[in-house]
Amino acid sequence: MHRSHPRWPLLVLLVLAAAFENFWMWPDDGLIFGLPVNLAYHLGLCVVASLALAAIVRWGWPHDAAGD
Amino acid sequence: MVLPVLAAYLALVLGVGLFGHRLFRGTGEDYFLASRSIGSFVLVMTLFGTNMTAFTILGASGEAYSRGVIVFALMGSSTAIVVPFLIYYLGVRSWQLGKRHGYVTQIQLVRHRYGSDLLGVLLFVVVVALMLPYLLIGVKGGGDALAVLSGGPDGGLPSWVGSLAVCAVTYVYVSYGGMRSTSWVNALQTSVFLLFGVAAYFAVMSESGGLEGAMEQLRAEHAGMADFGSDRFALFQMGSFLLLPLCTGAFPHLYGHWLSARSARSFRLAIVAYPLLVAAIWFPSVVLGAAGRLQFDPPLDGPILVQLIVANTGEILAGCLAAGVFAAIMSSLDSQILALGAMFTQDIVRHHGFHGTLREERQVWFGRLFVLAFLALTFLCSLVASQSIFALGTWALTGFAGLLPMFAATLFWRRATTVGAAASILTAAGLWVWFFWDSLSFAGPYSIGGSGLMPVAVIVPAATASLVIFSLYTRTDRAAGGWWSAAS
Repeated sequence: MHRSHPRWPLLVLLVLAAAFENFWMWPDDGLIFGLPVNLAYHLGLCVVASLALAAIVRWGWPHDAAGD
Repeated sequence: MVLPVLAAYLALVLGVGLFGHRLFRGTGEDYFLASRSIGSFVLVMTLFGTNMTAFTILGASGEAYSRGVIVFALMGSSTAIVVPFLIYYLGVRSWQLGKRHGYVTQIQLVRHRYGSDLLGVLLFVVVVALMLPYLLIGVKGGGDALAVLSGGPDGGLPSWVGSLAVCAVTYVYVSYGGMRSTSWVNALQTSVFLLFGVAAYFAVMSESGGLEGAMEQLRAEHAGMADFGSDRFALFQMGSFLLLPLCTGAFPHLYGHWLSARSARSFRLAIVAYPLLVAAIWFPSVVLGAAGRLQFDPPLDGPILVQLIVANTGEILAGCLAAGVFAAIMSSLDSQILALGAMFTQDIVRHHGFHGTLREERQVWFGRLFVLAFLALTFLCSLVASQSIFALGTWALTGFAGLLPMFAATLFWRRATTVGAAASILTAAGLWVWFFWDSLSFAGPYSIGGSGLMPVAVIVPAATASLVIFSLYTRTDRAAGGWWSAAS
């Protein structure tokens, strides 16, 4: 196995994938900020994913690509 | 007024594309990879623009018109989560290896890694076959959009005119300017469709009583459009669609853009910005599609998004928004046909035919001719294709997702063997054909047995299992050992 990437970003991916399956909210058709709650939740998830990726790029960049 | 604005936009795209040719250095690497010189901003715009197709703009809004806001999660947020990680893992590693070994296509990587010409040919055949439905959604989308914009079924232009215009414009600037023109035009087109996507959202929503009013009305009048459902069908759909964006890691046209980056650091902006850009384009697309249900009753005469634009905006704005739709379509089509040309030139003409006996410039001409023939075939298919853009797109993405286990193992798993890789490709291709055949006798949107489980949820695990089992039970290739030592 080629190991250039740290392991913790994979954990972040698994957490985001688990958060994607927000089954406890699926039947709810209420609105929040004028948006269906499920749509608002998934919009928020996109923002959280971007923040998590910023952390990965900052602290989890593959060691063999650091100088490229 | 719509058609002149659209014609002006197409002329602008051609102008930018042809300008890129002025910097052409006359080598294959410059034509196909812009001499690996693309910086962060153009890279993020071109990666994003390439991945956002007619599937996103027309397909997503059309599907949201039928199924409601769940479409944002099915393909929007799933893409926002999965694709940046593919760039982080596969993109950066592919760029490093591409630079080190001088690769232009992913087939070169696979052939070199496993030391097998036969595997390269197998992959070429499967990838080219999968590109047909993927190109088809852009060509068909262009035709459908122009037909509605020019007046619809009563007096408007026939669909084939728009399909032909999209093929012709894209072919000219790609074959003339290569990767540099494609990347520049993509940066322009991505800006255009983001800008006009947001403009379309505000223009249409202000006519529909604002976001809150439209969503409230949607909830009251169309049960199920504002929630995600609660049954096993919803569970299987959400689980399946999280796997579909894996296709991005196996797209030949994305691989080409990865290799065109100036440095590994150029990927950082793309990784971080990708989820926000996805939200910026999928949100208006899905909300407009769902809200379209309030203005138009089924069956529709054409794409819902285009109908909303025509019905709710002035003619000039409609022309600009139409340009945005065409921008989304062409920003993918150009990269796809460039990748096809690169594969045919590098992996067939050069590797199996005329290497050393044919000038590099002449080899590029073979690629252009192949692309012309392939586009002609796609255009002919668009005249008879009856499936929706969303359905066509889903089948193409499913096939590419099935190739991802093999590509990931090629880059990261030393124990992967030629037999394992071939078994993985054949398993994915065989199951794809099986499910596609099964879908032909299925009424409505296809899922396995009508359960909600999509074929991708079976194909990806099966392709992974084949790869692992056959690799563990066959000997590691000697050529792979040498490649791996050099690549580590």
